[in-house]
Amino acid sequence: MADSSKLFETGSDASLSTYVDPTAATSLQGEKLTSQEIAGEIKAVAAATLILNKIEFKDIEGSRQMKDVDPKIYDSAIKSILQECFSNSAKLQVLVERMLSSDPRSLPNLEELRLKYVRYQGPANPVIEESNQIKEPETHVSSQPKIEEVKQVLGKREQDASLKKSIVITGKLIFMAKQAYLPKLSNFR
Amino acid sequence: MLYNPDKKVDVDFTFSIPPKLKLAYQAFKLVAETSTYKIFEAEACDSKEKHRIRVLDRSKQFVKKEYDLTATLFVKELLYLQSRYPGSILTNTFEISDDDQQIGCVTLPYLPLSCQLDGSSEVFDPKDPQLIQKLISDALYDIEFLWKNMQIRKIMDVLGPGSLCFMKEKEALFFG
Repeated sequence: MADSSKLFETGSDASLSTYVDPTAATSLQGEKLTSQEIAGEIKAVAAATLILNKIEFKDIEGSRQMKDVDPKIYDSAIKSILQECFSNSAKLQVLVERMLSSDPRSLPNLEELRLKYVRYQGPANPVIEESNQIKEPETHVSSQPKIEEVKQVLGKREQDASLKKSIVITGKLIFMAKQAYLPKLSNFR
Repeated sequence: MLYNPDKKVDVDFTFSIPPKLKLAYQAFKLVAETSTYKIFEAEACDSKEKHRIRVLDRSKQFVKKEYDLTATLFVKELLYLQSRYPGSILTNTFEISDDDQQIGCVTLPYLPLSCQLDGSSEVFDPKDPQLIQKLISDALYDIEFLWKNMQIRKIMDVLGPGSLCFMKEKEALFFG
């Protein structure tokens, strides 16, 4: 989490401004945040990625705030810095550029900022996983709503019923065929 | 978080370490400290593995003044870390002793990015796109948690990038 006490410490102007009285503020618990709400934090995280690459972000940010500096100069400066820092990934360059954008509409949404790529780590115990698969062939993770699951169950039941029906029909056909052939067979006796 | 890479010798801060932890570990070195707790590097006597020992620092003014709050936050941080990165906390090592005077726990090794920023050690490769993306994702996850559950704002302003820690074994980044 954080050195959370630092965020609560009294006597610090910064800390006092960070804490929002939960009784006074609208609780966001359970609600989804938007990137616009935490735009400042997103920008600071993006800046941190540059600071780690020894880029003096404050200087660049300072130039953006100058009135006589064309915003395009700032944008091109950011682009060239990102190319230098993250030359291996054009995707990351675009992402960080959008995070640093002063236009709130350009901000990536929080879903885009969440890591989708996970380094592949093989199963801790492949034998166990394999045996689980054998035991539970129908086990699957589903994010579908329950209604979908009910539909699936009903669909499966329908499938099962139609299978039974076809078995019955096939059985009847065999019986009829046997009946039809019986007299002929009796001729052999 | 203040990082002290030069503290290579055992220091006499061990008075704050709970007794069972003191018995199970050796070669304590103070590596970092926050406004409420100290972090030691230590070696497990049996496995010889190096871990971090996180100990609430009763000598800090803020802890003396707001003991309940700081002790609660100390435990909350551990709970959060363990739920976020299972196995990062060695749960069985959590210990309270001496009438709540000593509270401590063992974690897997990690380093704050402040030591990358001051050049004292290379914590991770800042040009690795996967790690940077992980940093963005993990940092914003923590920020979201603090915003929504603890109603805290301007987190990056107060904590700064140096407060982010990297736990290599879990490829995890978190505020610490």
